[in-house]
Amino acid sequence: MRSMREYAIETEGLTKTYDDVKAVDGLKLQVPAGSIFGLLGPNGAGKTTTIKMLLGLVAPTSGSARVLGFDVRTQSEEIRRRVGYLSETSSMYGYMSVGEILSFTKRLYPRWDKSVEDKYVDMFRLPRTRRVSALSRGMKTQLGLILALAPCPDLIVLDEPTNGLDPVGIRDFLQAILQEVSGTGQTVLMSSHMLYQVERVADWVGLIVRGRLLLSRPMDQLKLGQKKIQAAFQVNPPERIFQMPGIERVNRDGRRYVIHVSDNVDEILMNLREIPHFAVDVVDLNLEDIFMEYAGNGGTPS
Amino acid sequence: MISRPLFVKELKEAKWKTITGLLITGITGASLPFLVDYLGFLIEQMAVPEWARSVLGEQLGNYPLYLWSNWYGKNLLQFSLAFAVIMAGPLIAGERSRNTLEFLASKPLSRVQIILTKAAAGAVSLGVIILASTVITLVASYAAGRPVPVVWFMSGFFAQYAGALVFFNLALLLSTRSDDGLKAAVIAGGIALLMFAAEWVAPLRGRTIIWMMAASRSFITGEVSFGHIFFMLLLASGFLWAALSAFRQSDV
Repeated sequence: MRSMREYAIETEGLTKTYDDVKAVDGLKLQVPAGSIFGLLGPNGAGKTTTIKMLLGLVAPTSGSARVLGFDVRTQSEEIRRRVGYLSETSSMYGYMSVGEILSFTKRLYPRWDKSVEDKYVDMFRLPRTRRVSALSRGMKTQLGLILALAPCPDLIVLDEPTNGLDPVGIRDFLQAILQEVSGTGQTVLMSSHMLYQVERVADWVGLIVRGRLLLSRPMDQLKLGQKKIQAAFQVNPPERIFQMPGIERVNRDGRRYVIHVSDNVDEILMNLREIPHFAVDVVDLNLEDIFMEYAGNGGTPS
Repeated sequence: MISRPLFVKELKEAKWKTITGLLITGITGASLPFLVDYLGFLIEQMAVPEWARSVLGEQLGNYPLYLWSNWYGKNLLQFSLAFAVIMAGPLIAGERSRNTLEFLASKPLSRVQIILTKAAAGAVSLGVIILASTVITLVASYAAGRPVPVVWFMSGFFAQYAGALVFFNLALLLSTRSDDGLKAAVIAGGIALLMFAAEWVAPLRGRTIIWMMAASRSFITGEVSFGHIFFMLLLASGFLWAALSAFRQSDV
């Protein structure tokens, strides 16, 4: 029975400072319960530090965070009881066999779905008697996914999970997540810098750059709202038109303009088309374009 | 407070250290009663100064003195110190260096549980080595036809074990602050060596942990020195508390 809270994760002013460097800087993040939330950001943006703070592995310098309603400072064990976590950076015990590490992990959790374990051990063709140290990197990731899914967690946290997987492995991995969480009410937080993967599975997206959350929106709203208008005018357009709400940035090359729009597309388009022009076209942005808009500008969209 | 799966895992990881420890200390202990005659023979054959011949002869002539001083005062003392730091040094630092600490800490275990469970499993392994080898030594004494009072001889075990726990928990504390298990063990071992050296300094003689560990007062008075054992357990608890505190505050 999943609880009916609005957000699985809520942070307010969450900050982590190492010496004088702010790895996470006043993060305000809300991950809706039941969503597949893609946490995007370039390397070193603070994604892993954020995740570690959410699991109680790293103590925040300041700010607060609640995961599944539990405080990360005082109730981290309760959080970990309900979270399945797969990290790119951590290792499993290499001397254990696949069967041994499954058995060891199983006994640490209050719930464990043996059918999930068996299903994915078979699907990924993991040999139970083989030592973890003898598995390929891809197989280790698949084993890590089973260890994250089988405890029937309310929240699944995947930190750069598909690094090291081949394209078929990535497909199977993403399918397994979708299959497992659909209709269960489980929340997935998946950090990645591989945008096409997030685009395939996530229904919410957050973008973190230099430890700060720059945007957090539903995927469809993000893709619908973010547009690029390419226009070639016959006369110089009035400057006031570029100050309309929703216009983020304007690049000009002679009488050719590229206008980056985050909202109010229809009205902007109508006004632009009233100016004598050779062409005014709308270009849809994919997640990579949007990501580059923000991350490529050092964290500012304009 | 103790996690059973983690406890079992720790015992399994310590398996070969425990077996090695048992073999080394067991063989050493078993050989002690049989070495008396051999040493006596060597002293007779060698050209040693008369005073040395007299001292050695006196020791060999007093079997309880020989056994206690060689076992609790030398062989077991050295081995239990060595195995205490070897076993505790990698407990946390080893998880860090193998990059498995995040895997473990992300499971539903509190930091207190992790430290206490690891400490408990290590303490059990260490206890098995010290106790079993002491029993082997006792049995070997009987087998060699040199029986000693069982209760009297076994009373030295408690002080020995309590002292070993002091250095075990000291190494555990160092382990929480390091990513190199060997380094933590070597530093704790170095501190133990300093304690040995302190025994050579006249004003400190009889006042160090090493003296207490050797249960020297028990040998002299024939009574278990509960005060010394309590003091060592208190010190061991202090180091354990410090290790807990350090681990709780550290980022994984």
